[in-house]
Amino acid sequence: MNHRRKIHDARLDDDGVAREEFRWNRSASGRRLIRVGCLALFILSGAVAAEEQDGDDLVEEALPQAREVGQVVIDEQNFDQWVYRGDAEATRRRFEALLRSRVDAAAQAGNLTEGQKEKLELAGRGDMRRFHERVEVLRLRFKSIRHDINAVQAFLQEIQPLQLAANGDPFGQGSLYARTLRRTLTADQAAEYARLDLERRRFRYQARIESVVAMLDNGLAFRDEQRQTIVTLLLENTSPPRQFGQYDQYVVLYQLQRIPDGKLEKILDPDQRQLLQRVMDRFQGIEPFLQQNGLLPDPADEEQAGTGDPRAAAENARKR
Amino acid sequence: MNRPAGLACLILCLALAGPPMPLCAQDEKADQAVEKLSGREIQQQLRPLLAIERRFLRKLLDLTPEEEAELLKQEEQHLQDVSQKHAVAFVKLQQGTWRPEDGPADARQIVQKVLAAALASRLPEDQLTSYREEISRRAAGRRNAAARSIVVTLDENLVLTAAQREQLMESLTTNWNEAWALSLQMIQPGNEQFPEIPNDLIVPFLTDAQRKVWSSVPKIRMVNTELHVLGLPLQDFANEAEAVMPERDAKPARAK
Repeated sequence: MNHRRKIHDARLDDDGVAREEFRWNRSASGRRLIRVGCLALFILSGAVAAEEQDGDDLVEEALPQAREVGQVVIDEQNFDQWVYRGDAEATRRRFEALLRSRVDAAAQAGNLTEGQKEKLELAGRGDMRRFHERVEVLRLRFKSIRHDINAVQAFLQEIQPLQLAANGDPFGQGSLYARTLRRTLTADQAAEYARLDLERRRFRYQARIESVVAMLDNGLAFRDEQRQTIVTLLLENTSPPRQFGQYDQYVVLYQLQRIPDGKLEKILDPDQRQLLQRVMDRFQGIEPFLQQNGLLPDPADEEQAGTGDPRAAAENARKR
Repeated sequence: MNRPAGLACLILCLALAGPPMPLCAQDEKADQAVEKLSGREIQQQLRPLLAIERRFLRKLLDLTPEEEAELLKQEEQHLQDVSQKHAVAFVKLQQGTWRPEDGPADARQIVQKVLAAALASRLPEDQLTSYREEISRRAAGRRNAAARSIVVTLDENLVLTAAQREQLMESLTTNWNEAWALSLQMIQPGNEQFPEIPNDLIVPFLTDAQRKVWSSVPKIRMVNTELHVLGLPLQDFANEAEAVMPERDAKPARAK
């Protein structure tokens, strides 16, 4: 238990702002409940998705204590804290900026007419409205159950996709925006857009790979040659996530796990292999989460990984 | 409260400290904060990094057990010296007054300096050079990874062209400041903030519309080296590094 607490503290040093700002109605429930809430938020926090198993244990241990304190009513403000990290306005501004960026990116592909831009903006606003409608439906549900700690516990799991959406890109695959883009661009514009999108995704994926390798280097201490070889191995044998977002590093790690053993064995020393295995063990259970949330690479991209076929990759990007 | 937690609280308190003060008052406050940060606390932070770096050295330079024992002894002396200097840099980082001349901000670099100093009188020059070159290449790799992550975050907000991405990479890597990326985790997606990068390294490469967005983006000051491996405590990796590797016991002492 103490050991787990230490892990929790260490995480707070780096990225604990959201958790430290977490607010509870303290009047009736007392400090124990605050701890339960913090632990629940700890589980839900994006940066610690892989810690879910440990976090579940902690909540399980703490809940009976919270139940003993009697009837509690959880403050309504917690809902915004969970979904928006406390700042709905910041999420709205981020969505607006993302939409503007998306339309600008499409405009880079060719001279979009005012009509085309308007269609895209309208579709994007439709995606934002859909998101806010989902939020309001769940807010109403929360209001009706906030006096029941067991129901709130289940509810925290239920809103996980919403949290992911609030921190993600509402204009990605399957969105109104994406569908409208496909229908709106001319063939030439679509081809150019696909080319630029592919370039952008490659740059982005390389950044994610280099960051993951640099973070592994904190503990595994790679020689420069090893670091470069692992980056190249990942670039050539793995594919970008379907949607980029806060779980990108887990997508990279998941794929690193799947690189045939022989290739990594040639690069790493025995002790580094052991340490890497220890990191991998912590992320063993991440696949269903990545799968459910549509974050794993497109199978078509995976097939082309390492084949170096830019035309096929561009075709996929166009369809996307 | 254990020491790392105490340290974290101190960092938080310092980060929440009030508005800018006159320079002499700032110096005084920095001195007081440094006094509170005992050398032991700093050393506790540095030790896991030292153990990991020592494992790296052991393999890179093929150290004999005698050499490593001597290195440990020397390292301990240098550690005492640098921990107080690091305390100054550390406190100045919290206060936003850190400059490169205050000494390395990144604890990793401090540890590398400790080891290089400890090795200086013990190893042949060619081996020392080999270590220095290797740490410089590793630092460059980390710098590139951090700069690319920053450009990606800029791209997500400003929709850069391929040429702009390249220009910004060049601008950031050639004018790199280690304090921008003490924690790589902090510049990954999900943290919608940028390090405190001077405008003149970014703005010249942006269009008017992009400049407007850039000016409204919140910037953060990083104050602490990332002391974990994708969330796993660094101490676990240090413990592993401390364990004696069996093949070392059989290795004969190197002829000097």
